[in-house]
Amino acid sequence: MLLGLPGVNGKRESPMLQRLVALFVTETVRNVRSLQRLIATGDSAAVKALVHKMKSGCFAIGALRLAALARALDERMKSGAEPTPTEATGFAEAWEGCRQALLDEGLISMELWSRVEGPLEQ
Amino acid sequence: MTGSHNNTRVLIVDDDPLTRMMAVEALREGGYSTFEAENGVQALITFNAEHPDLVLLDVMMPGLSGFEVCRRLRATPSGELVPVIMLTGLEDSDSVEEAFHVGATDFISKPINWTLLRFRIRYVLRSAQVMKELVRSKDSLSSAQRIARLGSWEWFVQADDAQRSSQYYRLFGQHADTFGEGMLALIAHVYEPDRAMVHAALEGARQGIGYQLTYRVVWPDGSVRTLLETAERANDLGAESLDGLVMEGSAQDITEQVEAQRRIRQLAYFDPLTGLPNREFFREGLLAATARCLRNDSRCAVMVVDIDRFARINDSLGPERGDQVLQVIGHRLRDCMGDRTPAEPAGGGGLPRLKVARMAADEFGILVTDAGPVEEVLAIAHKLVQVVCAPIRVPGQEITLSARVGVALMPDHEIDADALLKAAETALNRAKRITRDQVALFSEEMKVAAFLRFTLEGDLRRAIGEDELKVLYQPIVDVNRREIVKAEALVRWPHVSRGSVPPPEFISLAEETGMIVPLTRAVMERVCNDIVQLGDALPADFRVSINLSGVNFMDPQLIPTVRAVLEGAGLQASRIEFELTETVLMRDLDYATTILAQLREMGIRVAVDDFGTGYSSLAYLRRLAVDTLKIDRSFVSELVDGQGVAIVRAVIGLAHSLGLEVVAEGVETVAQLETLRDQGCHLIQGYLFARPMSSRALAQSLVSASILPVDRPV
Repeated sequence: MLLGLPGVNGKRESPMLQRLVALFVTETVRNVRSLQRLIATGDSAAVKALVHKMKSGCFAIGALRLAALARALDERMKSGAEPTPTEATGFAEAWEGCRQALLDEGLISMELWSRVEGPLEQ
Repeated sequence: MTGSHNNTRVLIVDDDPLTRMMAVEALREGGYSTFEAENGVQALITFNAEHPDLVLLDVMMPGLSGFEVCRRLRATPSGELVPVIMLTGLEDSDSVEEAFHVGATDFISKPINWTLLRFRIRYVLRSAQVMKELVRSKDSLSSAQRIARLGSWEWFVQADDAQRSSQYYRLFGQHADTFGEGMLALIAHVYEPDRAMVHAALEGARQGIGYQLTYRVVWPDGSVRTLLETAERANDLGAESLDGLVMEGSAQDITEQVEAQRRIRQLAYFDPLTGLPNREFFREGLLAATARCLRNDSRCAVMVVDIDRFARINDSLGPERGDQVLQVIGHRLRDCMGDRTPAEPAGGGGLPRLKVARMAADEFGILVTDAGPVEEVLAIAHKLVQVVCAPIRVPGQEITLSARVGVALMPDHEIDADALLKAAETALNRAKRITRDQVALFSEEMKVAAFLRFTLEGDLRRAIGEDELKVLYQPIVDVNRREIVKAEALVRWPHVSRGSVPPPEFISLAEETGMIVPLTRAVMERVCNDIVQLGDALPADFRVSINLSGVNFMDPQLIPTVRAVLEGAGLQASRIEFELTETVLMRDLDYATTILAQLREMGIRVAVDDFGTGYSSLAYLRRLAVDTLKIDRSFVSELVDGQGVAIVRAVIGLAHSLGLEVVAEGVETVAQLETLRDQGCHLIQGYLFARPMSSRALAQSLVSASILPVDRPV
């Protein structure tokens, strides 16, 4: 999926791909962390806006598990439900999987990783 | 996707930097240039600054939502038509619905298929371009219609549904809500005399028949304007069926054009004073009439009516009264000829068949088509003279004029329009100059005379140039001193082949042709040279008087010429006197006052010639620097009864009271002489004493005193 993104055109070494992934990682690290905090404090409106944003971003880049979680929470909240701590954990796990996949694929370097903020479970 | 869209600029609005980055990249690859905004406020600011060609707008954003941004864009003039593609959730049909409501052009759902997006943008841009052109075309059509004052309509005949453009209503000074419903609502706004015509045209249109019509409409303020309307079928239904017939039409305000055409016609073809056709119109009417005569083997007549001595009306009563008199005469002539064509025809149309026209200041032309025998035509001419001669009342006064009419017939005299008119004028001129008849019918003899006059003109020019003219002197005697004290210079023309030409004939010719100016100069030069040559033979205070015509008097070169001639001969100005008729002097009193003052300053005296025949006013005479009155010969010849004597006595008394010298002209008998002397006039000119003579003979007469009559005791 990533390789089909604009500016990448199937090239792993494409600078665009590196920029996209870097941005995705940075954004997602921040978003997942914010989500956990917002769910813990019960700020439903902010949670709703954030999952909506994550939903499209994750879909776009191909982080399908994250996207599916975001969509499920979005849908539930639309019908009036509140987010649960379990869901927060789910996002963290999904992101971990996603991160691992990116590392495995060699699309993300340890160097980049260390530049991004510290571990999620902090 | 290939191809460059270098000029296309896209604004990408999304709060998600990832989406923005991908969108920027996707569009960059497609050849578009991009701007980014991460929220609604920034989007509006960037839009206003950059005026992008397209906006990619995310629906869900913190702060201003995409819907709100779209709504606000649509409310601005520059954002009203810009294509906006909204980025919505995949299954979010509510957002799609809402996007439509706020005026989005299209939507694309997330996750975005970037290839599809680029195609989508191309489609949207093409539609936007078409839309833009449509709007521009509509705008330019609308402004073109406004500028051309062109309104349009469609008529769905069966339903009687008339759809009119807003400009169409404006042509009637109306609005959609004041005009009325249905096609026939038009009729109420049409100027009454044109209604039947418009109604008939609309009935034809109901049957699918087009029309082009000029009609007048009445505005709510009562003003009347002229429209040109064209109507035709909008759809072709086949020959028989009128079901579903739609007529369409357009109307244009042509009031100004119609008015301009009328003005042009008016200026070109009508006399502004009397409203009568002018000479040009008369000529054209005559051309048509002569052509008809030739075709139908009928005859027509042209008459030229001239008011006798009309100038004196202007001179004595002022040009305004003169104009009123001309209007009255024009009206009477039209009445008499049964000329019912409007003096100022409104609107277009062909030239009406004219009968009466104003040809020149005091000259009217009459055209009689289908003329009867000569006697009948002459009877009409006499009637016209009567009509002109009937007293005319102007405020405070009743004026009686006389007129002369020249008549020519086609085909009797000429068959060409211009020649026919010329023939009538020739007849008139002859009547004016020679026969004094009131009605003159053209004849071949006149043609010959006119031709002779034409050749005489050339001869006179040569005669002036070659010094053929002679100057004679008629003595003026002071009967008290029994001496010749003055003389009047008189010009004579001994024509080489025709013998002596009568002075009235060649003087009037010279005046008409302007040759009077060189002629008078030649006379002045001769007189001055003669006086110088006679030297001591003339007494030191002996004066010679020279006649100046009106043309001479109005010549701006008069004073310089007189100075030059006197200087050339080396003669004192005090030896010269000018004779001017009172009509010439009264024509422009201010001018006369100025010129006479200049002459007096030079030392030249001025005599009023033919005194008593014109319209003199004592007050005027007092104002003018004149020295002498010459009693006209007509008064002298009437010195046979008490009334004749009384007139002369009055003139002499008037002259003396103004301190003027009096000379009696045309004295032929001793009885006349004695009466004049008894009344106190002692300066006498006439055959009783002497005929005009050469300068040499004048000198001799001065010495011998042989011309003096037998003395009688005083």
